[in-house]
Amino acid sequence: MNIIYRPKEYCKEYAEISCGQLPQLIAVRKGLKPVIDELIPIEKYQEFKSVCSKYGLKMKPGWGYVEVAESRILDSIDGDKLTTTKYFGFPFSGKQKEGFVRVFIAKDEENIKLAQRFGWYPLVVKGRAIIKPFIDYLRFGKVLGYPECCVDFFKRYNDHSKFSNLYETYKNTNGELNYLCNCLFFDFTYSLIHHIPCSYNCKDTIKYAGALLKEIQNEDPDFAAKIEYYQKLPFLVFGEKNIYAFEGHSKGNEIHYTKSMYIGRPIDKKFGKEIEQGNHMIIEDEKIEIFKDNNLICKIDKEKPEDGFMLQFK
Amino acid sequence: MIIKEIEEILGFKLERGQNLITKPTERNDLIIDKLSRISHKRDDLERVKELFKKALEGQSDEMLWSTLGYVHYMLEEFSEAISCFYNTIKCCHINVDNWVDLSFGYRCLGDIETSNFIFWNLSELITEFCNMDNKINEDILRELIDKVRKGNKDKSLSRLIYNRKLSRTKNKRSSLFRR
Repeated sequence: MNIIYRPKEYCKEYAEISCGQLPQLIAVRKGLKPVIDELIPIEKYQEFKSVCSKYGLKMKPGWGYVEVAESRILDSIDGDKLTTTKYFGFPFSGKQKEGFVRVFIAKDEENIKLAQRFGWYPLVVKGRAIIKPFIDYLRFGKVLGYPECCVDFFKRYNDHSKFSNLYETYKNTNGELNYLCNCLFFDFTYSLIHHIPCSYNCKDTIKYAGALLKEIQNEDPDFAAKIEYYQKLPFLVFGEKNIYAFEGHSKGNEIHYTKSMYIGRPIDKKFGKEIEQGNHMIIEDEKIEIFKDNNLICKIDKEKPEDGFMLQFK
Repeated sequence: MIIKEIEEILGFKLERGQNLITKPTERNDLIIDKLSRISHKRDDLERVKELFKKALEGQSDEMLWSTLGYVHYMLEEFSEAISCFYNTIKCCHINVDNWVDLSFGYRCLGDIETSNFIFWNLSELITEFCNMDNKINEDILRELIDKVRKGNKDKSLSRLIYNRKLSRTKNKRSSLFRR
């Protein structure tokens, strides 16, 4: 399984620089989405600007980012909240040579200006973590064109100390999980959406993702086919950045698989070895059992049902 | 009495800590986050806004000014929020959160340059502020910014700090930074 899609023609130049949000860039080009933001290497800034210009898009920079060791980030955190940032930030001037720069991309200046107002991410600025007020996440979500229902849901459930947002979305889903609402690959090319939906069959999300998939089918049928394939794999979800996808099939609460793929941060990766060794698992509210050819090789006890739950989109 | 009434409407206690420049920690009060989660209750926010104004008659208080600023911020009244944050700084200029609030106020208003300048020069602004006779408003902030700008030009303070951090940093690509 290849976690990142590399287009051969349409948006090829973009994907050579930054490809995580390929479907979202296509959505902006096709007028389905007002604006996106990206993190690109500083040395590619001018090249990226030319690519956007070629696509008829405008681009403006935000802050510069430099990735640092976790220990240096921890020195800057001593509050009740935790930050997930790994970056020191600095005002981007165009003269810097190292690091990354956040950029905002849209067809018109107005949407870029709106995104600049609310598009601040947690950053350590001169040794101090600067985190925007939570309401600006909601405002930014609306600026990015996320459905109102999903932004409201995020407001209630995106509190990592209390909830697993992905599990709350699952609980809020009546009926089958629609693959158009699968956000699990959202930094890895194959998700049509870049937000956590309010349910895995959210009507507004299906409308947006369905329209986007049609555009992708017209421009790059191979990419569209791969999206559909990946979105319908069985998943085991431990957290927003801690997910396994499986080549195989699910039946009830069981997954039979030949290969597994980790979608997430290496630092969060647990049970990777056991999952790779196995070819069958049973997922229950209290435990997960991993088997190799019917022999139990690992049992994971869960404190809560959301500590490793299965999602199967259709 | 008024504070109790405000707390009853909002459903949480108004407790706000301080975040001093000498200790580089993230903000340690949660009022603005709690307000964000009830930001759809506009009638309640309008009611508490009036109550805050009443509570501030004849007195100046850091927590009251900041929370009134947050209420304006929730209601997208960013100019009014900024005025409140200036008053908050007047009450306690050494609390970094007050400057960060001011910076986000300017950001939401669309003045990204001023917002960026405040974030990048927090300690310089606080130091210069000590020489400003405890007065702060838009004009004085501009004066402060000019002073810090000139100071930085001479000493290249920001550049020095930035270069030092860069030289100790590995340059790796990752897109896994999102919340």
